[in-house]
Amino acid sequence: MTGLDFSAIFGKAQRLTTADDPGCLVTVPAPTGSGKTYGIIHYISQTVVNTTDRRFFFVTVKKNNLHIADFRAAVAHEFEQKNGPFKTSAAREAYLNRTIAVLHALEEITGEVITSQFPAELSASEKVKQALGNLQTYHERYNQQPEKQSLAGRNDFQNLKLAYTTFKREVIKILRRTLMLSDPLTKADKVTLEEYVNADETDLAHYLNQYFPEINLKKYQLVLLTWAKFVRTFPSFYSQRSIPVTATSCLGNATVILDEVDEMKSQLVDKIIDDATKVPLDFLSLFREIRSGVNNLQKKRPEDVMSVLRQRGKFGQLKKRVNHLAAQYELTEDYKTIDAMTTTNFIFNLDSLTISSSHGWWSHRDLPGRRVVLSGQRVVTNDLKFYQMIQRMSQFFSSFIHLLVEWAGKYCQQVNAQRLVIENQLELEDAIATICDCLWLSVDSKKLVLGMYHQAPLKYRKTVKPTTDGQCGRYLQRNGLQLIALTDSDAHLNRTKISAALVQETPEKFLIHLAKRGVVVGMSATVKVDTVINNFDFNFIREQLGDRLIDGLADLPISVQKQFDTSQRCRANGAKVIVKETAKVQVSAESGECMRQLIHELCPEVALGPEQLGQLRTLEMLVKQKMREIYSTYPSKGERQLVSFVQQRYLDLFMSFICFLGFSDKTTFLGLQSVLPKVKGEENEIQMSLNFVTQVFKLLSQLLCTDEPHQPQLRPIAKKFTTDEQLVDDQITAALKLPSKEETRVYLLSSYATLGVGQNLQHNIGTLEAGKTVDISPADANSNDPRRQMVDLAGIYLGRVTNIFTLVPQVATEKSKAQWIRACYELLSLADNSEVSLLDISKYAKKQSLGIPAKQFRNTISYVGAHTQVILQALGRMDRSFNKLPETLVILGADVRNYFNVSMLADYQLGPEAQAIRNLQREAADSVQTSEKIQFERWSNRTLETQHAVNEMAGQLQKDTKTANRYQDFREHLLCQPTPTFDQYHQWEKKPEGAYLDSEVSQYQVARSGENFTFGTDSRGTEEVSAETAGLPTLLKYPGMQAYFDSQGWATTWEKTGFIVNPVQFDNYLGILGEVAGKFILEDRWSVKLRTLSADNHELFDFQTADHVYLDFKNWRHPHNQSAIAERRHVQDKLNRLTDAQELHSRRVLIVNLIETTGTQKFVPKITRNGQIMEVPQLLDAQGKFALTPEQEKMMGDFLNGR
Amino acid sequence: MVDNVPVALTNLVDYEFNEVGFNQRLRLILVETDHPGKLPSWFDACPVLAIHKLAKQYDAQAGKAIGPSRYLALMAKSQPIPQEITGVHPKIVTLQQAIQQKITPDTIVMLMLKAVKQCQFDDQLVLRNQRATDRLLLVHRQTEKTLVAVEVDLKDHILQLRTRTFKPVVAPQKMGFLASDGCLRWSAMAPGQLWDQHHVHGRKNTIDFFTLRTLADFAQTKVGLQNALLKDLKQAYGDCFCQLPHFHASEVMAYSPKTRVPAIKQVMALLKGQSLHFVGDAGEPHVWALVAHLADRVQTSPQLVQAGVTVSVGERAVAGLNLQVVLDEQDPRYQVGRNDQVIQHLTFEKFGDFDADKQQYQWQGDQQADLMANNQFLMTVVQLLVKRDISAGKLRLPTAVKADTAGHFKYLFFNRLSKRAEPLNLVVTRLTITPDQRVIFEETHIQGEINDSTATELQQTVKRILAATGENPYLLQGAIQSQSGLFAIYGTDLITVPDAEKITSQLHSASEENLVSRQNLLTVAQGLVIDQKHVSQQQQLIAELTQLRKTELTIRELRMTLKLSWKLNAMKAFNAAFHQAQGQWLKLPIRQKAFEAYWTGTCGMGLLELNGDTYYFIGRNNPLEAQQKRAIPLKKIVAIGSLQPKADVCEIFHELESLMQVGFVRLNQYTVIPFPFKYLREYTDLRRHRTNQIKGASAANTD
Repeated sequence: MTGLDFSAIFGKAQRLTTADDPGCLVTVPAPTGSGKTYGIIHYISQTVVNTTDRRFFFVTVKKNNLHIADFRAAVAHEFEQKNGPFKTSAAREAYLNRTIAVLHALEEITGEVITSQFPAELSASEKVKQALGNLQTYHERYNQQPEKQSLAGRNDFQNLKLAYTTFKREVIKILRRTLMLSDPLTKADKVTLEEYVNADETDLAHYLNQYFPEINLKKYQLVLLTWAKFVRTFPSFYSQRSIPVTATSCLGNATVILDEVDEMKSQLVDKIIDDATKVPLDFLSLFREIRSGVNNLQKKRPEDVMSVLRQRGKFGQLKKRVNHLAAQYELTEDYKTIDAMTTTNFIFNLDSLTISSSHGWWSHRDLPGRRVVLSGQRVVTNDLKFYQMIQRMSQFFSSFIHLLVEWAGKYCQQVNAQRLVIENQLELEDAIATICDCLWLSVDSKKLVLGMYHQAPLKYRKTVKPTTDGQCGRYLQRNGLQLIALTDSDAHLNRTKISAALVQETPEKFLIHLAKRGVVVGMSATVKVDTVINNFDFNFIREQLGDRLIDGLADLPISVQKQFDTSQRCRANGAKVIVKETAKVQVSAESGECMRQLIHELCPEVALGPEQLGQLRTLEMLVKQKMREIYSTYPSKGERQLVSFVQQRYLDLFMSFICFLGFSDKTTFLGLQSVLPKVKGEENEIQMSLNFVTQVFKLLSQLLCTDEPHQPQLRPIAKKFTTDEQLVDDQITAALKLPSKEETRVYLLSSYATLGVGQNLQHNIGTLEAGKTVDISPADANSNDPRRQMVDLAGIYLGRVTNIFTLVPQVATEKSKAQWIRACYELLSLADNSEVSLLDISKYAKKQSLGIPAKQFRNTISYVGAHTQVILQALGRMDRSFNKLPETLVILGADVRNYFNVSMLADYQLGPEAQAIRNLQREAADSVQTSEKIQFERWSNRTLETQHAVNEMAGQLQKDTKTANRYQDFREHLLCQPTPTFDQYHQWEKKPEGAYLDSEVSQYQVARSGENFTFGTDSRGTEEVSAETAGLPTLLKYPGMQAYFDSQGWATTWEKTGFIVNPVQFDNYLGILGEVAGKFILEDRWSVKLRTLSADNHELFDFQTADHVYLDFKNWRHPHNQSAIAERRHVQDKLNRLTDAQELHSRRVLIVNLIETTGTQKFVPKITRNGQIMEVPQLLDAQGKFALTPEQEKMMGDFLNGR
Repeated sequence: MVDNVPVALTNLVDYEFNEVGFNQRLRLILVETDHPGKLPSWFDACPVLAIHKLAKQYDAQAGKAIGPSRYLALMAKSQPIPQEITGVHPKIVTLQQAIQQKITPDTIVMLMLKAVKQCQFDDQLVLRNQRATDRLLLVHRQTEKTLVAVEVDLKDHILQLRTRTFKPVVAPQKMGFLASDGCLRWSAMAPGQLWDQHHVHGRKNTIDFFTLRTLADFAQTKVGLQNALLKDLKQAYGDCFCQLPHFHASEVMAYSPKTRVPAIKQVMALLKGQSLHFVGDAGEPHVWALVAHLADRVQTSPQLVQAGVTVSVGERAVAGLNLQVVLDEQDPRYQVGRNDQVIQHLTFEKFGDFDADKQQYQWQGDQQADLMANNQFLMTVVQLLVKRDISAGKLRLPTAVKADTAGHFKYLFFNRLSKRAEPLNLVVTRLTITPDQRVIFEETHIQGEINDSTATELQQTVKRILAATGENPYLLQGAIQSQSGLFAIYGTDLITVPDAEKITSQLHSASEENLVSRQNLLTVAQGLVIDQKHVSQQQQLIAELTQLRKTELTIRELRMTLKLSWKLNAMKAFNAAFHQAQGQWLKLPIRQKAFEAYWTGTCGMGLLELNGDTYYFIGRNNPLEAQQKRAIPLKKIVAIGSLQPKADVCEIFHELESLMQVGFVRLNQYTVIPFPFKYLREYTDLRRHRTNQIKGASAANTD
């Protein structure tokens, strides 16, 4: 097998792109073990050697996945294939160094430079040597710093950077002398230098090529770098200035290959949040500076700048706006919080939703105190609408930056028009600074403005198409989110500092921008998994890119699919996967006999000798003591769930130990949990104590592995478990040596984050496994392939996955700020993908701020997707070689199966273990949490929300006019918008009665049982929700009705807008529709005037006439025979409840059903209850024609007029 | 065989050592030293599993303990004995040798219990008892200022848990108890807070007897703790016993299950047409305000109004029923009732409560619309009526039947004035109820030996009682004399306990954390065979279960998801069927009748025979609550001088039984001893007050 064929994939991209529109995004959802890395290396090397104009950026998440050596070997190989062997190894090196650039982090670059061999020119200079010496000192100091970014650590980073710049400056001095360049370097000199380096004919040039690829990075055909580097900057060769890697001058339209693309989202979100919090914006002081800047006399300012500012009256508009804001919200006064519980409080602005870390906030004028008071109490007089202020201010700052950039752009043009081309052009950033100066902003504010400019995705803003109606909200993508922090401190006692962090950029927009510029390839086994938490929001990207988003593996030939399908090969060769679930074996944690029970349950054939009983007793006592300790560590009632959770997590893990230890054919085992084991003294050690776990493992192995020559070993793997500078990779290597070299079985224990992704855990077949393995290599596999000598893990324990969502921290502090933003960012991402509504978020935030633990949004597509992704990635560790043990064991922790959904993946994309879990789900007929299911459930919940709201309103109609009005508003709203557009929907989104269903249909089926609705069933008894069922087309056929509806602004058709009424809304729609249409017909036919009932009789009946005849319109399409008696009694009850002056016996009710019911039975109007109630079964027939006979019409008229 | 005989468990622990097993695993060491300070390091080096402090030799001449400090230590046989250090003399003894040296088996069992609770594994997985402490104190709950612990003790095979309260150690004191691993250990070093035992007066900290809310809560009650102690002991040292330690179970004789004994009817009948006079010092505004408030409440009480009760207020007691409000018991205005004046007292200290909202004084805890619905007031009225009965010399409060039964006996009440070491000084009061229900009190004061020749019949009876062989006269609570015999009632440390093991397992199978599988739930729901009427409930249940998202879910999640009420017939059937099939309760029905057998000794009343002696218990008479604060004590009843004590006791118990079933002594609860003793207590109380008053008066005169 030669690996995935990328020329076909790139062929697709190339066919689609043009020179004018060179961009597209190709996803390659190739499973692990399909050889995608091999394939891409092969393709890139070939292209690099055989073309001159194609460039590649190969980006990975982890440093050690860059495949530097592989790429160099492959490129060299291709070169030799084409041009014959290199003459010398130096020539080979030179070629590779000017073709392939590796962009490292600063400490790595400096590390390489200090060990480099100087060419003659440099070694001759004492100053260069001295600078190198300095660099070396700082490099060592930096490396000795602890990992944490202490203040000192950062200092040394700056020192290192400075030393590096100094060193480069010395190098440049030598270059200036050697190449006879001027001082300072002109643009022309730089071009000369680039050409010199590119020619690569001297040792010096070669040296520069090798160590300073940034001199002419744009000439390199292949650049290897990590994602962290890719989204940031690299230092310019000439100065301290940083250049973004994605800048056109560097990236150009090179093809970007993103390996493990889904993991990049999370990193990028962190970076964006980091950037946003780096420059906290002091709201009021910056605003005041801008205000005084625009209001001060303008005469003294440079006219050339001002002329730009004044174009099209923009400056005047700005001034007006600033002054208006200042006056409206008293922004010139100090704001001060009173009665705040904490010194720091956060307020988030998520589109139109404002949530707070504590209680709600209101601001009001405090005239005597000459300040504005912020408090949790609403003071109606002098209310300054705090939340509105925050929203307006966020908008203001963002538009201010845009304005500045616009001005700066114009100013640049103006200035550059007068400068020579070769000279330094005025940069946009400098132009912004100039304009800031002109506005008399202080140095600090200038920095702030520039910082905001850097974050603000101005460049990408235009790339995001405005959302069309009917599509999802995309709040985050459109407006980002804003955090406002209120901080009280002794340093400013009389005012509360209001600072803001504006998150504008999104990973999706970044990716889209990349993909507009050139070809981007995103590779990952799990890129297809639906989730916006651990993966890019591909729905949004698809919306934006349209057909420029390509599935690279779509229509993959069956033969290739087969080739990838490891499971098939396993089955064919007799390798089995067994799935066990911890939930199936239940023991009680504190009973004191749980270990005995577990052993008995999992290894029934194990018989313990009398001498082992003592050991078993020790084990039982140890476990029991620890379980008690957990309980006594968390004694309060509120923590009971935590206690049983922690206890169960231990027991689940021990189950996996027993499954491993009890069977000597399990040579290697991987145990993954959400947390890493904790070492002694670590916070919350008891929750997953390494010491305890190790003791239990040891005791169990003494019990279960007595006849093994070497006792199996437990190897916890994580950076923190090492004393020296050992890497995780080294720990793995050392651990896997046990089975391959030392005939010792090993259990690797770690976390999903550490070992669950990106690690290779196969090992060379050792004596333990020799002769017992099953060969599953594909038919065309190379006999020298190292994977032939390797074997995969014998089993894996997948502990419960807990940390999918970022948890909202308990309290707001400066430290927890990033976590707060991240949590809100995720919530808003869910809303963006219409998985939750803003109403849900607001409820969630409210609970959270009251200290009530809010339920996580587990039942969302993204949660299930992210969960599935974690599991799939972990399972990916299992298929990395060509040999398997006959039986692979997969142990599933609690809930793993419940949130596992691979329905969107093809067979060949799933390894044998993932397939085994899926098959288990299929056998048990699990209701797998597919997106569709989740959506249906969400709809049910939304309908329920409306039901509750309607019930609540209905209960108060006669008591509370406000509620009655709200109810009437709601119903009329439905009449206008049974199928609202997004904007219409958005206005009602935060009301429970506005819980429309997000679906682009104009009719659907639903099954009803009481107040429960089930969607997506096609069984009998479903009801249809549509304009037809509502009788709308029929009613509109009645003469004059259409015009009447139009004049009232009521919907006459149901459109496919993306939103549609839910069944409860539909019930209410039916009601109001009947009322308005019935009123129209009655008033038209019988010339009566119908009016609504007085407030205290509200909604008992629909209308009344002047003669105390009450009307109830029905919009029933089916006969309601069986409830006719009940209905009559109900009407009588209502009649009795009426509070009007009229005597009871003279009150009369007319019940009218509008449209002829279906069915053959014919009903006629009749009068019951001593002439008090008249029932009319239909006014119109199914064609909308008047359906009463003249006699019947007269009878009704008589009733109405009291005859 | 249908087992219909009720069986009750007590805190009497039966066990029998297996010497071989014990000596194989454990060894006992007698340690003597004149330098107790060296012991901790020796104990740590051992490592010992538990220690017990033995009494020093008592020198009667010197009147104090002399000789070396002596300890008994328990060690695992597998651990080596450390080298001797000077001044500490260890001596290994076997189980048999220890018992021969007068060390009780209970002490050894206690050592094992200490080992279970106090020992922890060290890093080498060696079990050791750090800072070994003689007392076994288990931390129950802890706040910054108070620590409540349970002290475990086993004496005469009776397992007792006593609540102990601890306060932080204050500065000069250096030693104290340190809370670690759920136990208190004696320590001088203070890595954490040190505690000292504290005698609390007034508000006593107690630990609930049992609660049924959750398994975790149950485990923290006395019943739960007791049960866990024995269970742990069995698990850890089961091989050291031939007969594993267990609570003694006895058949209950003369068992009568619970009946309701409300008191209000009798009280209202007696109050009919009566006048209540409130007495208070008008010069004391608080007291007077409370008097006014009470008078007002009496006037507005529907029950009292209906009974035609009138009310008046004044500063002095009048003839008839008086309720006097005093500041406290020492109030000089305290008036003692005289023949025609019956006075019951209310202390302002206890009952007065100022309501800041209403700006008035009111009855503490007075919330009910009707004052008579307030338990405290009702009891006050009952006391008043008892006093009236006494002063009128006629039983009217109990029903005629009860008063008649009461007349079958004479009742002796012992009021001991002397301490243990002093010569006997005793006042005995005897109550006789005549057939016409008059009450006659006799009193005799006994000092020193009773001389047979001069003794009255009463004194001779007392002598017979005090001379009863094998009984501790200090525990005597009263005696009953009938025509045929004489019976003494003694207090004991014994209590009845519910069947904690079974309750635990039921609570366990109902734990909210238990996982159930959707498949199993569905199978059971579909298999339910129920009444046609409830089929729709069943269908709805199936529909709801089908909707469950998870394949495996906790009972908590299930309960939260299911919308159907557990009171529905289908749901009850479902719960039962699921338990049948899977052994798990979705909702615990333990308070239902089906589980009555678990509670035998705590409900109703009956006789038990333990080691040949007869005991009775008077349990609760209302249906099982989710929580019970106190244990039910066992009283020992001895037929003095009887040849067939058991038969005699059984014979009279039926009559005694009905004397416990009155609601007016312990408010709608059975009384623990026959109700005439209430009259005796009130009588002596009245006498005491009278004498005090006369003394006070004469003292005042002499001044």
